[in-house]
Amino acid sequence: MEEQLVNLLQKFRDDGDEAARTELNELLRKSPKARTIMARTLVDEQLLLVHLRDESIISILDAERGVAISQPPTRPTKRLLAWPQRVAVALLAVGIVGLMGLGVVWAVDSPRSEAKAIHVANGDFESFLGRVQIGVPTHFGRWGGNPAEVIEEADGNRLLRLLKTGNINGVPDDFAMNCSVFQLIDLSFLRSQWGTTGSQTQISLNLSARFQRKAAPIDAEFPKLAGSCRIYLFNLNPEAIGEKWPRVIREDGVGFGKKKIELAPGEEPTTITASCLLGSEATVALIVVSASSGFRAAPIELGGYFVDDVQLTVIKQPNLPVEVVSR
Amino acid sequence: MPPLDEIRFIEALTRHQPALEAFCHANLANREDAREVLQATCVKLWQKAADWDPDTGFLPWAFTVARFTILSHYRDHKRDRLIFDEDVIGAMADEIEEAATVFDNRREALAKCMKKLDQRQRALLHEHYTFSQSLREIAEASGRSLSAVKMTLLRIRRQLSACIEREMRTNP
Repeated sequence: MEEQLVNLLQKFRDDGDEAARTELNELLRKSPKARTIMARTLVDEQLLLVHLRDESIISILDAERGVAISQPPTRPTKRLLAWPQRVAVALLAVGIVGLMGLGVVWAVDSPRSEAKAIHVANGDFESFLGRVQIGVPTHFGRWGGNPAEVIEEADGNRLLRLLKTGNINGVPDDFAMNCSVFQLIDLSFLRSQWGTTGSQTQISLNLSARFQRKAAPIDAEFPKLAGSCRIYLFNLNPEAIGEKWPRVIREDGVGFGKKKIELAPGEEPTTITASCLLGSEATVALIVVSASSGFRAAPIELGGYFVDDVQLTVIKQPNLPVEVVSR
Repeated sequence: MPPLDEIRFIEALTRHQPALEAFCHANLANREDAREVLQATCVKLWQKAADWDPDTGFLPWAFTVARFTILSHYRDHKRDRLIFDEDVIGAMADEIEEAATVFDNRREALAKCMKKLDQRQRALLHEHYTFSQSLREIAEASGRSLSAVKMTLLRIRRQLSACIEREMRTNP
């Protein structure tokens, strides 16, 4: 039946075949099974569209990762691009860029969509080894938070190991749920580079990080610890954010994005991305990578939870279906 | 709306926008119409943001708003290119909502399943879904018969659907 439904749908799409459309509607009217298949097929089709779109754009972003923030486009020609780039150019041509919170970088010859990497200090954890400072940072460009350390693996790669859930207010044995590591990022330069959000433009932030869970003594008790990326946006000076944490979220937050993943011990490393809209009022982002037990309890030693390759990208894109406005 | 609720609204809308787009697509089976209706729905959601209780689910509310927008779209515009009749949309409502609700889970599963496709299969998907080439155009360009291209695409989609179902059962 699936084949029949897809064929009828395709006939109408390709050739405008009215008989096929009538037959398709008749089938759907009469058969609950056909309706279930059709609904699932179309949702999966959209799933595929979204995935292919993301895949193409991410290929572009990966290819352009080395470009400095203020650097102008250097490879505008489509002819020299590999297929993923050509795919993204086609995406632009059909005007579907922008609906998913992902943009296209300068390599694509578009004056309207831009993606820029924002520097995360020691985002790959390669320039530091040892314990991370305890407590929410009060200055830009430093990692700080719950007990965590940067370790070096046998192959020389360095990564962040989340050690123990803790209370960020510094009460050592208070109930805790997360082991979180934070960094404050200055966004004020975006105002001078991009100005404020116009009615035809939307700016979003994407925070990505690679999570990995290795065997640890707590595995039997916590088979699926959650890892997460979070972005909080503020219009405050960095000292105030650190000092007023965590109530500052409720009182002064102007934006938030989160992505969570549950990892079992030994699972493949997985990259997740949190997104949030960036209103013109936001001047500071607090980025967070965490592991969570999912409930408040006495602090637990996590042991095998690792984070690497933390990246922040700002994306400006036109014609999104919703924008941040003042109300 | 209090500032915190506004943040939660924006967060929910951003997070669930792909599922909402899938909902529109499943109702209309046409990319352009789906994008148009999604845009109108997002505007309406924003206008009605104060009606949303952040302690309740966002998607059911958003789907309801989207459904009205779709019906309005049906009645006002472009009857010539609509695929489903209005009564059929009504009959499929539950199935579409059910399928779109698990969009995020299926999306994660699809990401894993896509890795199992070979290069030729991926290229065909890009040609059709990203470049928007019709199957006839793909067949002509590749020198294959239209039915062979149709069958290949159907098989890939079946393969992906089966893989997604397996992933969903394994990691619900």
